[in-house]
Amino acid sequence: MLVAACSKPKPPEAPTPEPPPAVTEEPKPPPPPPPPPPKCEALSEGCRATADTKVKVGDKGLAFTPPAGWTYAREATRTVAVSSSGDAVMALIAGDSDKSDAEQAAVTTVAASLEVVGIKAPSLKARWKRPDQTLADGKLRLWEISKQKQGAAPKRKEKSGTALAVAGALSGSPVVGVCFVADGAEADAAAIVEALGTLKASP
Amino acid sequence: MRLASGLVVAGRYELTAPIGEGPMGEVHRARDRASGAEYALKLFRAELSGTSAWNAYLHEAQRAADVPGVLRVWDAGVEASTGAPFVLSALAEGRSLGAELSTTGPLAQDRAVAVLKGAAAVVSGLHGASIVHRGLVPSNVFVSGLTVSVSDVGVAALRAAAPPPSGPIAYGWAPVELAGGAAPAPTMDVWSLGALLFFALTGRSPFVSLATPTFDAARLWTEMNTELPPLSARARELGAQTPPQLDPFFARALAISPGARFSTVAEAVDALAKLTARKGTGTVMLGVVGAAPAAAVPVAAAPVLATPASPAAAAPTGPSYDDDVAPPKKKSALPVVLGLGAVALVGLAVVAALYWRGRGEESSVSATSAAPASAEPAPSAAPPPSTVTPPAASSAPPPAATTSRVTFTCTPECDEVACDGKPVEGGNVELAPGKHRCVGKRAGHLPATDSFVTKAGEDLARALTLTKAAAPTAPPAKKCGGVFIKDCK
Repeated sequence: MLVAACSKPKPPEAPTPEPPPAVTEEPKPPPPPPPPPPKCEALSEGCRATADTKVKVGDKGLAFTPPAGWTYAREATRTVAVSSSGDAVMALIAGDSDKSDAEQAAVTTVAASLEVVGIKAPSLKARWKRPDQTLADGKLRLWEISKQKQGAAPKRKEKSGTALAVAGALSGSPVVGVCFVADGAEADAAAIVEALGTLKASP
Repeated sequence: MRLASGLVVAGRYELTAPIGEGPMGEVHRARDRASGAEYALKLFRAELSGTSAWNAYLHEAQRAADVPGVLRVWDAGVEASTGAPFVLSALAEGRSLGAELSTTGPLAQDRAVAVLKGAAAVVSGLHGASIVHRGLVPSNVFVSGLTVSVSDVGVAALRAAAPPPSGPIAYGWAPVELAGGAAPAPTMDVWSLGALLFFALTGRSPFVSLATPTFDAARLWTEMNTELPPLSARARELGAQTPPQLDPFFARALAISPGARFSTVAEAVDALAKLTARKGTGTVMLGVVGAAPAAAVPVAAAPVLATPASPAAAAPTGPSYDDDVAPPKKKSALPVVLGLGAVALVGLAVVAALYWRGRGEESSVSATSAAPASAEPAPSAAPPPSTVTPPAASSAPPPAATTSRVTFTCTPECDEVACDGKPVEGGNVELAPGKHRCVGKRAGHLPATDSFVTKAGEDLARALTLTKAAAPTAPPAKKCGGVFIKDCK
């Protein structure tokens, strides 16, 4: 039995498994080209200003540098910049005229475009010949519009705050603007005034 | 909706939310997985894919990409599962005009006009690039504040080449000649802008047949080929209102004949600006609290009566720096005439008073200098000189005094005293008989005037009381330390 056992032929070796068939992947279509860089013509494009940013105001060669970190856009009818919190905003347009009535009308239009309400036109008109401050050697005039100045605070999106009217003519190009900081965001006011100081004719 | 949110189009753009659906296709909000940016992805009917109309549309959309206010098309392709061609465009800010009105109702006139001007600016930019939109409707004009953007540039060409079941044009929003296949012209967009303004003011199309529950295409076609009545009347017919002052604008903008319309968008906007600038059409912009009320009588008449001794009158008479006052109307000549007349009357009164006082009172003290210098009474003429008699013998009585010694005391002390224009030294003076006028002066005080009559040989003691002058009113100090304005530069 032992002999018989020893003479039993070896069992056949298990066959080597065949290699798995090669997986044939279908070639992926090339991804579409990424959208071109934004043109910064709408706030939804999310363009963020840096110290090197120059944004045009109107089409007469004026440009300025918005506060760093703010979202900005050169829209069809205005150039606008908004702080990250959304509580501070500024908008500038190229004016049609540097006459008082035209400037005040343009301020009203820009304020409406920013949804800033509560700017008292008669009060502003009475103060128009005496700006609170000037920039650019007196060529750019600023009026603060606040509860202290006109008896009631301007509002934007139900938030009270302080507005700033801007008007002037730089290199012969009239420019008008409105800025607004909500209560609690006063720290952004200085950045706005600094940004206005960069407004000039762009080469 | 055919496509569900979550579907990834072209391996990259994930649909996140439906935005809308129309006869040309459907629109979704989409997120670019590569950049995380949000876009609008518009899918069109599959049969448009690869057609010449599709290529023409993409070409026009590309040409319009640089026009400010146009929602730019960034990418285009075909959605694999449906074969529908798509375009990826910038996401509009705000809401469409249609959506805006569906929640807020018709817009106030000032806002409606401002929105229209914004849309007109975009359309004007398109015309400058030789592109006519031809498909402006309330759903592709977007409003955020007063920022307006426009989408669907080129879609009109697509619609004309492959009309959807609803027809080759958006009825009610496009002029009649467009349905007849007329070549694109800016006057087509002028017409649409007019219809959009009417919609913004009323929430309705100018055509009555579109306000009925059942759409009657034949009736609409008849309406489109008939001149509209005055739009203020049409608005009333539709249960809404538009200012009659705008009727001339609508009449030209919505004229059936293109040649009768404003030839350019700019011309239309100018006309609208002139009409809305008229009184009573609500030109006050958004955010303005009321218009300037009529001013009362100008306050500028008072200064002509002011005198140097009236510091209050020298203070600014205009509105204070912070006052919320209505601007004065243009000054008329009447107040000036009245003021001059008042001066003359006051002058006469002063002269008369001084005359009678000089006659009726022996002396008086006045602490006012309100009378104009011209009204001061002239000093009396000096009496004729007395005849000088040579001294007689010592037994003769002493000669009678021919003058009067007048001594002045001032409270407070005078810096100078003058009588009849001549300075008085040492506080006393010899005066000839007659009327005299003396004045004591001191810095910071009003002059004290004393008129009296002297008799020969009769000495007088006169007391002058000076009144301290009021400090001049300082101009209002500039208020600084505001939020924006930190200093008084």
